[in-house]
Amino acid sequence: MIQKKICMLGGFGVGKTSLVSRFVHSIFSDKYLTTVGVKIEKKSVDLGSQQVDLMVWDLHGEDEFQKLHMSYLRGSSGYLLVVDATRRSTLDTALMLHAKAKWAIGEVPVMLAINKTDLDSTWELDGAAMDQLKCPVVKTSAKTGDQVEETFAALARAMLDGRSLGEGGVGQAT
Amino acid sequence: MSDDLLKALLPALGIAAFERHIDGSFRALAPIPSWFERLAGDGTFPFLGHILEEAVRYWNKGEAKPRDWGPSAETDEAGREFHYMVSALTLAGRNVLIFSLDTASDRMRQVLQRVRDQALAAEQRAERLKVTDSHGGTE
Repeated sequence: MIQKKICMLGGFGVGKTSLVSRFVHSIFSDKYLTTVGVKIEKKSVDLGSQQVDLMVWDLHGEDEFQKLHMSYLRGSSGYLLVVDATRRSTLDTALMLHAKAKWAIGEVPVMLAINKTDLDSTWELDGAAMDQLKCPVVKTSAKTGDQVEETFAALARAMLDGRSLGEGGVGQAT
Repeated sequence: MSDDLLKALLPALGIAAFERHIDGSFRALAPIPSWFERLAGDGTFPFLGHILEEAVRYWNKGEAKPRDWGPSAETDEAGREFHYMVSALTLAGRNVLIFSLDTASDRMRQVLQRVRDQALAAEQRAERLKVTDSHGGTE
């Protein structure tokens, strides 16, 4: 069985843990529970021609109280940047983490998930941010499950192929 | 401290302690607490895989100060989250790896939760105000 490690990166309260819970356990809770440290979940994914065991590292949200340990990214075959559709500031945090991650582990498949699309979005991704990201963007909702499976599957496929994902991405990408 | 006392004390404190031998194998220094048994039960232990390489480097350097990793979060049978830390140290020339429950992180989480709940609410309020302003205060 092939095993791959994915890291979840983003500011606090963007829904990283909710996305993992939706993906791994098919559950969602409206209650926000902050993550301290790292939580590792496992899920087997059938990609048609191949089965892959994903180790999803849910890392605590970055803010002034908790800084990300970049060593947690070691061995990661890809990562998912998560931002909150209702908080524009979380994009800046994601861009900063993206730059740090690239420095720590080099170019690996990465996607940006604009999460909480079940809520009214207060901002739109601009061209300058897209230029910095250079990765596919997908709108997800951990609450409804919209695009959650698809996002992890697309990232897993890219990791198996060992290729960088170009801009574009899975369904409903912006 | 007698071996018998140590073997009773470590699981009572929720500590799983292992000695690493030259051949790379590990031997438990005392009976393993149930939380740890459950954690390692399915044969995969990703967090251990992550730290082992760094722990071996630490032991090979022969540093005096222990090296810590964590906290790592897990969920117990009742669905409650708990945290643990991993420490590598060298005692009397013997390489030891310790897994211990981290109640400080449990407390820190409660504090962080309050702080972040407030920060989240403030950010969302500010975003809503921005949207209202951009619509000429019509919303």
